[in-house]
Amino acid sequence: MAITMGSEQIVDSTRKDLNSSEVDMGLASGGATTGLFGGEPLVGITPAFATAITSAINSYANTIKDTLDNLEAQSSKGAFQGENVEAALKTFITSVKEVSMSYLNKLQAAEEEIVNSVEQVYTGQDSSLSGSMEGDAGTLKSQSL
Amino acid sequence: MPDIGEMKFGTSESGLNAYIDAIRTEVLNVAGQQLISGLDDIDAVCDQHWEGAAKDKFKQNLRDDATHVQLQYTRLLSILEEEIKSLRAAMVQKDKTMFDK
Repeated sequence: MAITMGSEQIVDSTRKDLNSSEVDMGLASGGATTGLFGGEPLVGITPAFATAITSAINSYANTIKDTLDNLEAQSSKGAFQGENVEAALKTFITSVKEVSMSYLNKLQAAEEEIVNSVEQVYTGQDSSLSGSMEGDAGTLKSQSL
Repeated sequence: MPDIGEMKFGTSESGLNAYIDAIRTEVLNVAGQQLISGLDDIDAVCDQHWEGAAKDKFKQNLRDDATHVQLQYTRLLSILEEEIKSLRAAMVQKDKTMFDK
């Protein structure tokens, strides 16, 4: 008697589904990091970033303010005598001090604004990139078998 | 000869030079130098809390900004010096011409 084989086959439809399916590489095109490699090896800020730098800027400005405060302490009596001239000179010196302080305050405000803005950019980046990636994750997940 | 300190009205050339020198060397020049030297501490804090090309640009921009303010202090000193010298010049001129007719 000849031995014949039955028609039974293993069920491998799942494997077929698996092999017929490929991850769409198009998902990677236009991704956030495409073409951006090659920059700084480490990029980012610490949690204390804004607080620490703002504090350093404040300390820097306060040191200079303390120095500028000495402007009015300089006596003009060795240079001029005359009540009204002395008062006018004092007013002039005060103006010089105010303008000096004004420039310093503007510098301080500008740098603090930039630091806060940098923190905001990182915050916005964290939000928008994560949103974009979560969208990609959803698209990727839709390819679940 | 009376000292300037004993006068009710008057001006002294040496006193004026000392006054301008004190403002320059004890205040505005010091503040101007602190504007630049103080940046090292901020740079160090930046290095401690921030990495990337943006940090380097911030540090350079900060240095440029501080240098700009330093220049304004130099200009203010020049303006002050000119004002004080012109005040003295006017007083000296009046002294010279007081009896002119």
